[in-house]
Amino acid sequence: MDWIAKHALSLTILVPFVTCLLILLVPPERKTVVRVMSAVATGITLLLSLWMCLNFDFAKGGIQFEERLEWVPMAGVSYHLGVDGVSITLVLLTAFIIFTGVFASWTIEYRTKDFLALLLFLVTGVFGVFVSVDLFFFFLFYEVAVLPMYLLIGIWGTGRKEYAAMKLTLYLLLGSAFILVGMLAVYFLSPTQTFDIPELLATAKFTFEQQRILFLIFYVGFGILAGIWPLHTWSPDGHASAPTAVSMLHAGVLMKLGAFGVLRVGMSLMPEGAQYWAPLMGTIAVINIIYGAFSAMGQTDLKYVIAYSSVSHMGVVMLGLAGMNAISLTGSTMQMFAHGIMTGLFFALVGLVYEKSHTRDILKMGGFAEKMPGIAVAFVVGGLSSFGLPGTGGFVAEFLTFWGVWKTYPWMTYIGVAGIVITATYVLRVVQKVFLGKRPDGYGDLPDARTTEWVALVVLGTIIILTGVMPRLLTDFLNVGVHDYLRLLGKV
Amino acid sequence: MAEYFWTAPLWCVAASVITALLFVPRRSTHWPSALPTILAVAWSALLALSAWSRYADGLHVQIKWLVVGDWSISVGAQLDGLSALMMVIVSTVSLAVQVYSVGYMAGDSGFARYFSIMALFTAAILGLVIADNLLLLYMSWELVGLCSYLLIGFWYRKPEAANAAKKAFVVTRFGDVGFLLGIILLSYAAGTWQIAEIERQVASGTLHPLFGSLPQFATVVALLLFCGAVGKSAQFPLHIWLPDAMEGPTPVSALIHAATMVAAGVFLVARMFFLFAVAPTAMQVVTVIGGFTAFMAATIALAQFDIKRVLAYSTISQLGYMMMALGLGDRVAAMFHLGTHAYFKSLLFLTAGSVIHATHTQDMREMGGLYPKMKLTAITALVGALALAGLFPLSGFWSKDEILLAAWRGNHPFALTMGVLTALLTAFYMTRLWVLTFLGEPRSEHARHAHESPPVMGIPLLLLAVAAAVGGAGASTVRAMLENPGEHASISVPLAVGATVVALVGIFAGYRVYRSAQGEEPLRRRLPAPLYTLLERKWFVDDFFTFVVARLVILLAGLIAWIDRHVVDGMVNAVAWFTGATGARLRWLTNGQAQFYVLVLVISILATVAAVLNRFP
Repeated sequence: MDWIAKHALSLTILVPFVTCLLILLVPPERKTVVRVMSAVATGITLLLSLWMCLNFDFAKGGIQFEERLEWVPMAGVSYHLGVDGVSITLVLLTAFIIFTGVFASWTIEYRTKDFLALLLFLVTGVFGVFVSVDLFFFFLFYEVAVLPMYLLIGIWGTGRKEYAAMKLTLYLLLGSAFILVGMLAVYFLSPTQTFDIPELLATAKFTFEQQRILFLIFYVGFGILAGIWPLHTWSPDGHASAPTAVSMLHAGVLMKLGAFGVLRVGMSLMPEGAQYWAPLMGTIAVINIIYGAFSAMGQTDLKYVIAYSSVSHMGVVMLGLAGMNAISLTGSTMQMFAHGIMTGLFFALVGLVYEKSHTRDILKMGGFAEKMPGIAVAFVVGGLSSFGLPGTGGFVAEFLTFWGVWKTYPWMTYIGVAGIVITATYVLRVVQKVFLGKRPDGYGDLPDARTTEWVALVVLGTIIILTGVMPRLLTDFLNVGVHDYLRLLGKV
Repeated sequence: MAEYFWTAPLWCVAASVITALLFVPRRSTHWPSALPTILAVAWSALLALSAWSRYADGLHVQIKWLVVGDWSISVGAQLDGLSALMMVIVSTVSLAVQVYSVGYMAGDSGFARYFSIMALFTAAILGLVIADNLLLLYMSWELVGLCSYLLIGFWYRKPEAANAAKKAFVVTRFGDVGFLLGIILLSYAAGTWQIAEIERQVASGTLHPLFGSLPQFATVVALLLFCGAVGKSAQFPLHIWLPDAMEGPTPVSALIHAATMVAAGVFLVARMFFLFAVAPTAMQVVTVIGGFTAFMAATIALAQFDIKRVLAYSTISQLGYMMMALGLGDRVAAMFHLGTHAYFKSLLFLTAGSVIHATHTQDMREMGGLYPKMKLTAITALVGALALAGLFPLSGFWSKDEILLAAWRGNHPFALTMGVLTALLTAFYMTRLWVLTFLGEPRSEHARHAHESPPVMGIPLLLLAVAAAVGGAGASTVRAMLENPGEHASISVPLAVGATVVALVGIFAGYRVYRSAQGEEPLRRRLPAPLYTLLERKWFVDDFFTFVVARLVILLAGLIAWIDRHVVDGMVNAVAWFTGATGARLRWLTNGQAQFYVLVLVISILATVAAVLNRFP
C-alpha cells in the first residue's frame, strides 16, 4: 500500500501503457479478452484516482503525490509528477471518461485490438499531461496524446474521416508549435535553465515585456486545443468524424487540457502577462459562448450540434479564467469537470443513437424516446447540465463563473448569461427533434441501451447529478488548487 | 412536528426517486405506483398544517452547501407567515390533484412516470416557498420549470405537446436571465444570499448599492427580479407559453399552470417586497404590467373555444390581478387572492378535466347539455366559476374586493379601470364557459353519452369546492400572517356592492348571450370584425413571437453556422489550399536530377558574382 501511495501517479500513467503493450501480444481474434483487459486497466486507473482523491491533503495544498526522478540533469529535465487541487479533478475526469469510453467502444468489431491499444496509448498521454509538472514531459505527453488521434479518427472514424483527422492533427500541431516556442523561451530566459515548473515558479522572474509576449504565445498554443474562437474549427469536424470513445475523450478531456495549460503554464508563470491579456481572453470567451451556441442551433447533424456546444461551453471555462478571482476560477475549473462529464455522456449517447438508427440527421429522426427511453432520459440529463439547470454540475459551474466574472468584468456576465437561453433553445430543440413527436417511417427495431452500453449512461449521468446536488465533492478540491493559483497571480 | 417543516420537500424527492426506480422502468399502470407520491404529499400537507400553527416562531435551518473564496453559501429553510401560507396552499392543492390523478391518469402507459415527476414538482415548489436564500430560491425556481417542461410534454408523441413544452421552458428562461442577474447584483451589494439579512440591510438603509443611490439600485434589481416573475407568472409579453402549456394532462394544468408554479412569480415579488417597496418606479411597472395583462388576457378568453385555454387565459388574467395588487403596495391582497385563486382555479381545471374525461374533447362547441349527466362536476364547476366571477359570499369575492380596494385607496385610476373591466369580463367569460359546457343540447356524440367521473375524481372536486366557497373566511388570518397581528381586514361597503353589481351584470350578459347559442359564436356577429379578429388572434403577441422573434433567431443561427463553415473555416481551408498549391507549383524544383541541381547552382553562383561585380566594380 505504501508503495502504491508513493507511485500512484506513475501507476496511473503506466497501467494503461503496459496494458497497451500487453494487448499487442493478444491474437487479434480474441476480442473479448482485449476488451476485458482494457476495462480492467481503466478500472484500475479509476480506482487509483479515486484513492488519490480520498487521500488528498486539503490542509497542505500545493502539489501532492509528488514523484521526482532526475532524467537529464544538465538540460534541466526531470521526470517530475504531481497533482494540485485542480489537476486531481482532471485526472479523475479522465479516469471516468476513459473507463466509460471503453464500454462505449465495446461493440467495435473492426480491428478491435488495434483500436483499444491505440486508445490506451492515447489516454497514457492524457494522464501524463495532467500529472507532469515538468514542461519537457508535459510537452512529450501532449504529443503522445495528439498523434494516436490521427489514426483513431482516420481508421475508425465516419464521414469525411481522413480530412477531419488531417485537419485536427495539423491544427493541434500548429498549437504545439506555439507551445514549443514558448517553452523554449521560458527555458532559456529562466535563471537556472530548467523545465521544472515548481522551480520556475520559485526562481524565474520574467519582465513584463517578456510575460506579455510569452503569455500570448501560450494562450494561442493551448487555446487552439481549448477551441477558442476563431481557432476552433478543427473541433466540429474532428469530433463529428471521430469514433465514440475518441470524441468522448477528446471533447471531454483534451479540450480541458488546453484550458488547463493556459492556467498552469500561461497564467501561473506569466501572471502579469495574463492580466494584461485578460480582457481579450474574456472577450473571446464571450464570443465563444454566444457564437458557439448559435452555431450549434444552426446544425442538423447531431454530432455537430454537440461539437459546437463544446465550443460554447469551453467559452465558459475560458471566461472563468479571464475573471481571475476565486469564484470565477472555481467556476472555470468546475466547468472543466462538468463539461467533460456532460459532453462525454453526449458523445456516448450520440454514438448509440447513430449505431441503432444509422443516421445523424436530426431532421430525419423523431419519437425515439418511445423505443429507447433509457437513452432519452440520459440525453435529457446531459442536456440539463448543458444549459445549467440547478441540480446538475453544469449549473454550479456556470453559475460560479458568471457570478465571479461579474466582479472583474460585469459586461461579460451581462452578455454571457444570454448563453443559457440560447443553449436551452438548441438542446431542447434536439431533444424534441430526436426523441419526441412522431417516429418517421422506415426505422426498424430501435433497441434501448444494452448491458455494457449502460455503463457510460449510468456512471456519467449519476456524476452529473451528484456534483450538482453536492458540489462540495468537487469544489473542496478546486478551492485548494484555485487558492494556489491565486497566490501565483498575486491575488491572495 | 413543526420543527421538521423543512423535511417536506425531502419526502417528496424520496417519493419521486422511489417511483422512478421501482415503477417507471416497468411502465407500471397500477394505482400502487401512485402511493409513494400521495403519501409523501399527504405527509407534507400535515407538516404544512403544523407549520402553520407555529409560523411566528422563526424556525430556521440551514446547511453549508458551497464554499468558494471568501463566500460560504448556506442553503436552508425558513418559516414565516408567507412561507407557511404558501406551504399550506401548495401541499393541499397538490394532495387533491394527486388523488384526482389516480382516476384521471388510470390506464395511461406513463402512469408511474407521471407521479414521479409530480412528486418532484411538489418537492421543488415546496423548496421554493421555504427557501431562506436567493440561491436556493432560484434553484427551486428552475427545477419547477423543469418539471413543468416534463409534464407539458408528458404525452411526448404528440408534436404539439413537445412543441409546447419547449416553448414554455425557453420563454420562461428568457425571464430567468433577468432573475439571475438580479440576484447576482443583490448578492454583491449585500454580501450575502440570505433573504432575511438582505431585508434587514434594506430596512436599515445599510445596503451598499453597487451603482447610483439605493432607490436607483433597488429599482434596477427589482425590475430584473420582476423579469423572472413575468416569465414564470405569464405576464405580458411573456405570457404566450401558458395557453400552449395546456397540452399537458389536465391535473398538471390544475396544479402547475393554475395554482402553484405560475403563482411563483407573484410569490417572488411578495418575498422580495421590501426591495420593491423602496423602488417606486419598479412598483409602477409592476402595476401597469399586471393591470394590462389582467385586461388583455380576459378579453382573449372571450374568443377561445378550448375549455382549457379559456381557463389558461383566465389564469393569466388573475395573475395580472395579483401583480397589480403588489404594484399597488398591497401584499396581503395579492397573497390572499393567490390563495383563493389556487383553490377555485384548480377546482375549475379539475372539473374541466372531468368533462374532458367524459367527452374526449376540449372544444366547448362539442359539449353542451352535460348538467343532467354530470351533476357533481357541473355544480362544483359552478361554485368555482362564481367564485372566480367574484360573487358574494364565495372566496373570490373577498379577495378581489381587497385588490379593488387597494386600487381605490391608492388613487390609481388605471388600476381601478383595469380591475373593474377585468371583473366584468371575467364574470362574462366564465358564464359563457359554464353555459356552453353544461346547458343547452349536447352538440356531439360523446357529449350525448357522457358519464360522471369516478369518486376518486369526484371527492377532490367536492373538497376543493368547499375551499373555493368558504375560503373568503381566511382573509383576516392571511392578514395576520403577513402583517402585524391584530389588524383586521377592512371592507368598503360601497365598493363591495359596486363590484357585485359588475359581476352580476357580467353573469347576466353572459347568460343572455349564450343561453341559446348553438355552434356559432354570437360574439363574432355582435363585435366589430377587426376587434373580434384581435381577440381571436390573441392580440397578435403570439404571432409576433412566432413569426418575428423565432424566425429572426433561426435566421441568425443559420447565418452564424454558415459563416463558421464558409468564412472562419474557409480561411483555415484557404491556408491549407495555399500551402498545397504552392507546393504543387514548386514541385518541379525538386525533380531529383543531379544535373538540374548543378545547373541551378552554377546559375546562382554566376548571378551572385555578376551582382557583386556590378556593385563593386
